[in-house]
Amino acid sequence: MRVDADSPKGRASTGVQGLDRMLGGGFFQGDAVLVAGSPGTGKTTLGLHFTAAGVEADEPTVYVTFEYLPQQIYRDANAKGWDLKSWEEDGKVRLLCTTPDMVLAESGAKAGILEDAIRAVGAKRLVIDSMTHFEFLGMENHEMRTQLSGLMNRLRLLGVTTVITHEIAEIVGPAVRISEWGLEFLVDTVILLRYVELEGELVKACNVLKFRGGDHDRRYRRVELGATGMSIEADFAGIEDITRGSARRTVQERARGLI
Amino acid sequence: MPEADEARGRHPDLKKLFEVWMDNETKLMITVFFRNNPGVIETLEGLAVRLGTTPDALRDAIADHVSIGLLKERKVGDKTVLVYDRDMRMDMEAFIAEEIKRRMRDQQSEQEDQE
Repeated sequence: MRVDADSPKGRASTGVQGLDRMLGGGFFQGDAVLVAGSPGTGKTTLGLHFTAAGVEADEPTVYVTFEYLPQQIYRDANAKGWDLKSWEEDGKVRLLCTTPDMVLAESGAKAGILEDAIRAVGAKRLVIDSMTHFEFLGMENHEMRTQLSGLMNRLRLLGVTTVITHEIAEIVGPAVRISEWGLEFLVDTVILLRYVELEGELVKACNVLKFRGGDHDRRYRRVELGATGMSIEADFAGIEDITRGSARRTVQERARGLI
Repeated sequence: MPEADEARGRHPDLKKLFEVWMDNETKLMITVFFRNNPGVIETLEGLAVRLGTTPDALRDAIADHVSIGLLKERKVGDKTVLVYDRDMRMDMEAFIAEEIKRRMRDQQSEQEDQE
């Protein structure tokens, strides 16, 4: 599936046309982007879209995974039509499977495993999937925030556009706690993927919560995950209270139904 | 096959490696694991978890992979991690492909001789 490889200057296509439209052309190059979402809302899929868009745009990607083995990522990507393994053999992608402490341990080093991988393929993009695993390090919140702040600054200096995913525990409801460490304050962009309950059904929705330096679509939009990946669909026009777990048609919509 | 000869020239221990892991389950498991997951960067302990075994069960086999150059040890912070040598993999695969072809040819000619 070809996506918008010709993004406006200074932008990095997300790989999802609908999301590019919401952002006015994609992420800003060199920015750090947090994709926060409930389980199963498409965080990893968005990371893979971003990787595939990098291949299209001749911007190699380093993809860091903590939980899944590369062979699982190859398989999942392949099912959506992305041949990650052959991209890796062609030097367009480099997949790393390690632990969060390895990524943090090298903060002071001149060239750690992350920098080595970035330089090896000339990466312009980085995906870290997911930050949730940093919780298992057992650090105090302020210590973790300091470490992550250092990591984000290091990545900005390397000039890579970074997408980090993070799982949020809430499935539905009005309150969403993104991270204990204030991760959302350390990044330039926050994409929220979550469920909304709509007429007895859980529907996936996407919202651009923060986009430093750019204007963006502020509406919640439906997300569909299919055989070829993610698509961003229409907004929830005519429906109110979608994030409160008690979404319903607006008065006008109900009145229109009566007429 | 030129690629295999070339690989053998760069890594004279390839034949030794091939012979060694062919008759050792743990070495075979490690080789196959890193072939399928070349991006894994782990400590011995972390690798044991990913392989569902214990560090002690892996230690000797890992040491052999390190000595032959298929795995490299690297210091990250205060830990030593194992990193797969991707260049070595390409060489090894070329060598193994040729070795398998050679064995098949040998078997075939043995069968023909018997007939």
